[in-house]
Amino acid sequence: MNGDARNDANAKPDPKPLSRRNFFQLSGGVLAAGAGASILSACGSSSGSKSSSSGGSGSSGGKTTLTLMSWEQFEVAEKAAWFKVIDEFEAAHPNITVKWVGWPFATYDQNVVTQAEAGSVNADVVMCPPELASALITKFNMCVPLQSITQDLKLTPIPAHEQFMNGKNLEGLGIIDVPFALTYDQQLLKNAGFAQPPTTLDEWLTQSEKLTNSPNTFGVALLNSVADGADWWNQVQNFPLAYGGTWAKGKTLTFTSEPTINSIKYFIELLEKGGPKGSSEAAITKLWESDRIAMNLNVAAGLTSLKTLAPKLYPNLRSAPPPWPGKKAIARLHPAVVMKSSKNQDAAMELVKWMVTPKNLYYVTTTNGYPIIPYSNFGTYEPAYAGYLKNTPWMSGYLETNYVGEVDLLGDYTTVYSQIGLIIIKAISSAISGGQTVEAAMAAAQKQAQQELGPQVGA
Amino acid sequence: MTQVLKAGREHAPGQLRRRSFSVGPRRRTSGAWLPYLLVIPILAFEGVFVLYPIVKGILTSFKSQQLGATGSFTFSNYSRMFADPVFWQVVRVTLIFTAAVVVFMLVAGLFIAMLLNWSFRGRSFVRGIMAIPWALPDIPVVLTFLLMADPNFGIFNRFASWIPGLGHHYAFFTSSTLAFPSIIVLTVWKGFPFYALITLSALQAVPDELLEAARVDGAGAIRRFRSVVLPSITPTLCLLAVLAFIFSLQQFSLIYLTTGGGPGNDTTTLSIDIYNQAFQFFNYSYASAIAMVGLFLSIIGTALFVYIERRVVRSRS
Repeated sequence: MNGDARNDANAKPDPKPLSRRNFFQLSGGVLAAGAGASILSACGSSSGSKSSSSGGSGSSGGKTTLTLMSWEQFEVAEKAAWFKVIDEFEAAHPNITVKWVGWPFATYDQNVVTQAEAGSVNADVVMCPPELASALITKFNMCVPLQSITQDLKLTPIPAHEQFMNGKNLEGLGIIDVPFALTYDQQLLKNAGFAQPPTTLDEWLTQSEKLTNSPNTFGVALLNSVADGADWWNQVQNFPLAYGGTWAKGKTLTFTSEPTINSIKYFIELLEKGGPKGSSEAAITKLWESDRIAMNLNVAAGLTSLKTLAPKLYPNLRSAPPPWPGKKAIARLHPAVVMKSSKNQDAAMELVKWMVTPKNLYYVTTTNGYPIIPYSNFGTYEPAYAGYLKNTPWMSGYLETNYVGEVDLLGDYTTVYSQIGLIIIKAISSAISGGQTVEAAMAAAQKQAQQELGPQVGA
Repeated sequence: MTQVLKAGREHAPGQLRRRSFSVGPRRRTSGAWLPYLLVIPILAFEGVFVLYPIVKGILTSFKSQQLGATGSFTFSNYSRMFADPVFWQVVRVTLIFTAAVVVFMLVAGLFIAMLLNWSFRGRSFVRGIMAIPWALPDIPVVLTFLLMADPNFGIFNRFASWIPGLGHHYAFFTSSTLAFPSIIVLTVWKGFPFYALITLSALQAVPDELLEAARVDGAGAIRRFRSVVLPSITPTLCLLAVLAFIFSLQQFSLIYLTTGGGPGNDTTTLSIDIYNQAFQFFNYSYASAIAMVGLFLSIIGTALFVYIERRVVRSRS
């Protein structure tokens, strides 16, 4: 066979020999193309699935291109509503096109902060989780005041907007409010003999234990693996509220305070008696959606997607305030901010104004199932909102819960939200696995947070 | 032998004339730069994408800067690192993980290679399916393992419950006693086919005459393995040891996706710590300092394996 191949090759006429000049021209071209491609790929950020323009931010030929940085274009259940609102903005402003850029939510914060650390964020408008907004507004001082927008629209921002104040200026306007409450499957509770969801910590423990018949059913969905990092932290950060505790007050860390220690001990007891201890987030989500977990301390965003993802659960889905004194939980208010570095600030502010215009905010909220619209007088402008709240069966618990912002639980450490979260969940994981007592784990965590994060918040 | 070499150097007069005619002084001068020119692309590539990041990393580790800002020269990152008990725990975890993975990977690879070196029906098929773990991407592997190792309904716990004396709620990736061995098992399972296939090719290169001669001399199977097979494949095993050492020292995705470095810092290796410091805490300088320790360990480990290989080869010759 080799011989045949050689013969075949010999049978062909000799190709024109490659001269040295041609060789270098060819290699130079390949290298230049490669280098160009490398530079282009290094400069570009990950685009979403929809991009209204292939160009960068800026103006050309009388047309302005705005860059909107977000994670929403990657959210399967939510992106359609956002695309519609932005498409309508472009239709109403023919001289402006909007280009979506960003990353999926799991890596969004770190990518934006990396850009901010390097000096500037490559966008005109940035949609932010609350802690990212705090960092961009106060730590990096990169945003412009937006109160003129709410004044124009006559909207009253809810108090959670305090987190986005920079001196006297409001520099972030809430567009998505992600509140926690206790969601539950009323049928599973009824089957176990509970007419109502728990209203006290003891009841929560008792009901969860009774509802648990591992591996078939579990009482409560509690994340508990460091690998599930951000989502576990989002959930567990609520627990100090059960005992009137916090993670920090101002610049002082309170991991080792009695209420916080008690809340972690309670979390661990609840997990051991009624939670899928050791299971991954993927497995817990699957159990919840397949009606095998009765309760879930859960955010409202995305609950409407259960209509298709969990058709057995959704009709029985209800919510209640967290079963602890004060009925407090965190509402993670996600704002839009306009960057100081934007060369199209007027157009960027016009885009943010469009996003918080009651008609658009109402459309996105009701379509995507974010129950709380973060403007207290919103109902005045959108009368259908009251009907939406009333007619959505799983809404009542979210409306009864008393919401606090991250700043109330984390003080000045809000700007290092994910970092402090990583330290805390590692400590809790150590206590859950029996490596350390809760007290020892939290003392070590507080020391680490003080050393690593204290300087960043001026503590 | 000497005659052959001499003959090789000698040329017929005609050949000499032709050679001296075609390679004249002008042509030699004009062609001398060609080899250097040809290596420029690879040198440029290595310089930009390998050397520059390393030098930049070293410089960054001596600065107290945030990304994009300039900082003054300082040893503070190193003094902080060496005083931090968590860092030493991370180094300990990394070294034990690396050592365990290298040993188990080579042992498993050698064992499987010896099995596959036997003639049996369907050997090609077995070789093919054996490569599957290595060929699969990390993320589906991790997702599957997380489900199989689930303490509540995972298949591993079902198997465990069938064994007398064992329980059935082992949290393989979240327990402080099981998480570390679990990531070692997962890493070895994922990587051993590569080592087995390379070792198999080395085994097949062992001359049959040597084995036959040893058999004729009365050597048993163990003696033939120890005195003929093992010395023949030692250079390959040394090379594989270097590769296993480097790969396991750099292992990130399997650990990060299964345990996230937890519980506590029980499975936090240097790679995980560097990632956390750089992209969670945004301490790029401190992350660079930790990365320098990783680089140092890589160089030391590789040099050690190369030294051992040379000694083995020298002692054999």
